[in-house]
Amino acid sequence: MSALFELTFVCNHACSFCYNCPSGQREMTTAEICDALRKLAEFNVLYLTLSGGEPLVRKDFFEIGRAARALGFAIRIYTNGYLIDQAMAKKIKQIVNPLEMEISVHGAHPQTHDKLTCVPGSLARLIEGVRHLRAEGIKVNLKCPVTRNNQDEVLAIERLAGELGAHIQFDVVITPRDNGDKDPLALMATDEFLEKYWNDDAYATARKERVPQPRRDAPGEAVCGTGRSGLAIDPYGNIYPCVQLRRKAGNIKELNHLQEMWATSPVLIEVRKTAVDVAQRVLKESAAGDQCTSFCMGVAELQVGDATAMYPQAAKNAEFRKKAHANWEVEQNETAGDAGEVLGKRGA
Amino acid sequence: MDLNTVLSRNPEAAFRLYEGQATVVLPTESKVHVINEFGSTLWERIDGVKTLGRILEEILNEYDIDRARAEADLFEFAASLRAEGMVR
Repeated sequence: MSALFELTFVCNHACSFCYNCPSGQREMTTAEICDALRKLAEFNVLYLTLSGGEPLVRKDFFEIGRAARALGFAIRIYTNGYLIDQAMAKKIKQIVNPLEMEISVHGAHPQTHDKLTCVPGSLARLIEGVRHLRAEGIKVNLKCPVTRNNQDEVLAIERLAGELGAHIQFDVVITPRDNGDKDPLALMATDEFLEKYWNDDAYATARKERVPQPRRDAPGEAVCGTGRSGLAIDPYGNIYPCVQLRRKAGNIKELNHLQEMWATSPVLIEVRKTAVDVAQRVLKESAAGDQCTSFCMGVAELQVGDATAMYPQAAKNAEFRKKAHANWEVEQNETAGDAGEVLGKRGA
Repeated sequence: MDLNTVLSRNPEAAFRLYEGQATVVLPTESKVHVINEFGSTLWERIDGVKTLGRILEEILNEYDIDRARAEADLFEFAASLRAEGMVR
């Protein structure tokens, strides 16, 4: 069981496609957050991601981190890395000792990364921060949303991650803001790039598979773990099935225990049912649905108003994946054909 | 390792019990260890105070199992937990 806890919506960056939408409510106090952590531990959550906004801007971050560690969570911290100097890296190791740090990177060069974060020097600080974390033996996973502004730097970003001793994860799907604002979608990578990304061998390690493989959903399986194997909590205590599907299931400040809400919430019951329907029917009925490996009900709902609808980014990526898979099958058949021809000649 | 040995759980280990099985994660590794029911019973009792002998007696009081078999299984599991860095 996992939980993503947005500790604050405050951030020291101003990324142009940020999905966060603060509503002006009072964010939870230290005591409220620690109480929420106790409830999550009692609910048997093992993996806890501390996120934001930028979680490290909270003055009580280490009090929260210490409490989380004492409660036996396997902790991840999702940060922009800007505040991580040598002292902070040591403190993170000593007090929180996370399983890994997840750090957002938007380019291999300052002119790309800093332009998107709107903070001059942010890439240099990020790189320094990663070096300090690695010096403390902390695993770092860099996460890169691919946009038309950084798509030509994907391979350079991959190399940068390698030089820093960090893992890298690319995401080619840009999402609307949590309030439904679709402006960020204008930053989506170009069709020309996406076709190369899914097809060319040069991007095989970036996309983490040599050839795009189709979905293999077992009978009754859901499209993802939303509302089933994980949940998300915002800085006001609202509980959601996941970070992307912003249907409120309850508020952790108002609950003594999570168990009953988890079992009886109409929101969660509906979400689980829909997640199975998407995998077992919607994607199977869609043209390239079998290659739609990252379909997100939350994005579908935000973007087209229907959690089961195929939204443009999903359809596009699925089509390119399907085409790449078909190209590979043709190559395989041609290779097998050539081998047969050679064998035939030898036989003669 | 013998019945007078006292083991402690790795303080860095994060774990939860799901339906009688312990899932253990060590921050220094990328591995997730899922321990079966007997191993989880042992894991829960390792507290840096009890000897393996005392843990064995507790297990024998709780489960209807052969002493020699339980002792052999206990040492085998304890050794594997130590080899994986989950206890020390």
